[in-house]
Amino acid sequence: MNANPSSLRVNKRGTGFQTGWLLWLPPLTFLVVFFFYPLARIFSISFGRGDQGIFSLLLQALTSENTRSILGFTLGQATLSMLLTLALGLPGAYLFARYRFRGKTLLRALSGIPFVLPTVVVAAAFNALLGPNGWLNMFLMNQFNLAHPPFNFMHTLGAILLAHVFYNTTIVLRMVGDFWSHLDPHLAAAAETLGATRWQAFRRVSLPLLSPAIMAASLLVFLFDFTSFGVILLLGGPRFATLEVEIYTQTVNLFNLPTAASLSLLQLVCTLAISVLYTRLAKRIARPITLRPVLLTQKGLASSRQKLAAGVLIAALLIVLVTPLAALGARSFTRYGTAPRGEVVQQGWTLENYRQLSEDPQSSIFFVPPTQAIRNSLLYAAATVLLSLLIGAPSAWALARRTSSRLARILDPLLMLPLGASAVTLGLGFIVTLSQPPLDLRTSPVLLPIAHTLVAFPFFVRSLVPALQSIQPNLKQAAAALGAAPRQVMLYIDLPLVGRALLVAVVFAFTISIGEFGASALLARPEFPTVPVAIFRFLSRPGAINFGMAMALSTLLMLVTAGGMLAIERLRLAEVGEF
Amino acid sequence: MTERETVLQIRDLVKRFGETAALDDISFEMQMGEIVAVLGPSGCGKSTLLHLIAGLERPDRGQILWQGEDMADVPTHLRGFGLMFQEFALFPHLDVRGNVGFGLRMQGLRDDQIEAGVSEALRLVDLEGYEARQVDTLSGGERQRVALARSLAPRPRLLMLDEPLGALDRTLRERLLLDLPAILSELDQTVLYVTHDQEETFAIADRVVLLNAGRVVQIGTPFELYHNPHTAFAARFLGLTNLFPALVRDADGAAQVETPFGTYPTETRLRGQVTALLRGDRMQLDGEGPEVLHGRVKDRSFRGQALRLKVQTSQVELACTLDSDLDAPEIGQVVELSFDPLHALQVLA
Repeated sequence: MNANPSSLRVNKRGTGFQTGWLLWLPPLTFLVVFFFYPLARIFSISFGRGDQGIFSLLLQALTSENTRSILGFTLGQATLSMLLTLALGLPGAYLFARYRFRGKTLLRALSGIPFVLPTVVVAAAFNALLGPNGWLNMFLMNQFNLAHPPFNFMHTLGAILLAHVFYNTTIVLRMVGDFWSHLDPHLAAAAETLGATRWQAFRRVSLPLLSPAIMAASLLVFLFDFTSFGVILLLGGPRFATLEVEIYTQTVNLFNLPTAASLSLLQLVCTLAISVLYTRLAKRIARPITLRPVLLTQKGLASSRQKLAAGVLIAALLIVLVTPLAALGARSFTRYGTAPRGEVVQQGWTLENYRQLSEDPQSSIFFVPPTQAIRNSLLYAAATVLLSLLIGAPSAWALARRTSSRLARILDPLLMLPLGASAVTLGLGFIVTLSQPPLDLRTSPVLLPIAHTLVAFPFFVRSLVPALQSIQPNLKQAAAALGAAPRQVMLYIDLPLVGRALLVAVVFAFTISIGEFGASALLARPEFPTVPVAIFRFLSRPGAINFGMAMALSTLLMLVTAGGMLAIERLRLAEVGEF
Repeated sequence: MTERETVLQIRDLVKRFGETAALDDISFEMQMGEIVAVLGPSGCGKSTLLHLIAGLERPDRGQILWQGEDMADVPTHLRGFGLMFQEFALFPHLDVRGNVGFGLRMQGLRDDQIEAGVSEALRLVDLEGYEARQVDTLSGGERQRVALARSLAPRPRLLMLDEPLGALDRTLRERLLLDLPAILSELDQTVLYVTHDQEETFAIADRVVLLNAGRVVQIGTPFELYHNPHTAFAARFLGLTNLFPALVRDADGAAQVETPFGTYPTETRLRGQVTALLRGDRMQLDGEGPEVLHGRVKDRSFRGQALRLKVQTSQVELACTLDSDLDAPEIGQVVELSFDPLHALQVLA
């Protein structure tokens, strides 16, 4: 071909520039319309209350006795939850990182299930285990012939903390454990040969090297606990309110949008501050470390003391992370009846709870048969997957292509922002913006998939980017040298190589959508509830039938989300991902 | 070495990983100030041996004694044995000062004492002024020296080096091979040196423990090992060629070894199937020895002081090493190789 070099250069530059912008266009438009614009509206509503600007506004919010106590509780419970999570997670991470034992893969998979469970399922699970109708109380009542459940678990701080530990331990297990498992054990051994005791070797060598991972995991756990919604609402009850719950209450029960908006702003400032702190810390302590293959860093449990310690730890992990799930599953197959004195009693095994799912128990306009809710959830999830593909895939491609460009450096954290903004805030933003012209989507069925896409967005993108980046540039160059146009490189090189990662991302989007509760609680229209919303309604109402159906629906949801998680785990075997 | 005190005694050491024995009945001793090399192919259990001596792993059987004291219940940090890891295991979060001074800090020394110890150790390895460098900015050779300085700084009573030159490129290895003995002898340090490289072993060690598949094959000075290997494995591992299957039997009251190229008298006590080693460095071209083999020169290569010939006889191919100042035969020329069977022909198990 008679190509003239200068025209080639121009051409190359031209297409690179164009595709770059084209890739950014859908995600940016989407985020601007459905994230930044609603957020801006929340801000302006907050500003509308006072005219002295953001700081005096925050000050005003902080001086309010009520807000201060809510903020104090939010921070306090998050700190406590984080510390408890670390107390269980760090020893677990050590066990997973340094030892091989039978059933490890299974235990690891099981420990990941809580993290992906919708909060309503978690609430249902703890209800099934420790609630007034739970296994423990039932057992105690039968055993000691008691008239009332002796063990008061629901609506206590303990319930909130336990649920948070249940939820987030896997973050520590994975983030710290994975890093730890690749940390050269010779480093600690070297310290010991230089005269350090085991403890000194840990404190002076292993701990400083692990601290970025521990810090990252802790802050992520803290962030999740800080914005916790469903757990507080369902397990904490009316006595406890985090910022997130208060935003919801102010919006739904009191319809006090300005107060809700101020609280959202306060929460956003807090999460942003945590994220900035995290980035700073991570940068300061990040140092290049040679990672070792797991084959060289792990060994079997040798002495009987090691075996005993490992056994105790595994038992603790099983009790905290698995028994609530088992209790839920078993409860959904238990018949309930109302005893003469009014309490619910167990009456043997049955499929009745599942059979009732196709009936409308309340026969009112706001209550549809649960099967209807399942259908709604599936449709919303499918729409979320579709939207995520349209919006998330181009962003991931754009991010992976140009990590070094200034544009990407600015946009990367921007794309991650939805992770910091809570689901309830998103829902509130939609309520204040999208229910009036120019965008009147309040009654549109696409509202929920849009919200779900935003919630899933960071996960979707983060599942794809590392896989895309791991494609060796010389592969692309080789393809280009063989005559492949950029589009062909994408089709024949990128796509087959990231196929698994793409599947992971899709499963993420689906699983998140089907279990999402915070935004759905605000946005789902009464006649079109999703499964989590339906479970919430059943759990909030008394009666054996409601409880039974909540158990059955929760079990189904648990199976679907856990299945999704296990699929992700499987697909990821040799993959790299950041979540 | 014999007048020195015996410090380390390894007795019947056994370590299993599952079904396989990584170390099987290892016994040897070390004298104060001695440099002993543990030589063997990779996977022969060398690193495991060092980890057992350091106390990082526990033996399944056997004893490790230091000056008569059993180390079984002494934890790693109290043994006073330094170990330099193959990949150096420098602490990435500490600078050179923090790394080299780590052992001194663990001894509870004052800051100025640590500083002095660090400077002294860095002087030994020729890295003066490197205190404030971050370890990830060091070259491979510098990392090796920092690791050595770190192991030396607390003055361990035994220094163990695990393939210390293994991670370096060839040029660097050869330079450090010259420096290392000087550093170690300046300190009169007792050293256990693990390597798979016979060249390194010969350059550094006073004595060699040759390992194969977890068992001791032979112990001796490099000279003894090279000139009198006991097994075919030892000969092959030390780079000797001309090894042939052979049979020893008694004939007329004297032992004879039957090789593919002839039957010769021998003084060995072995009988039956053996390996015969015809040493290429103990043959001449003059055709005047007690025994002579005829052959055609197949290949020759000039190696500075030595000339190596490959000679094809009617039965076997032989490699021999000759002085290079001789008139070298041409390729294809027929030569007469003469040798004394009692001197050049060794019988190995």
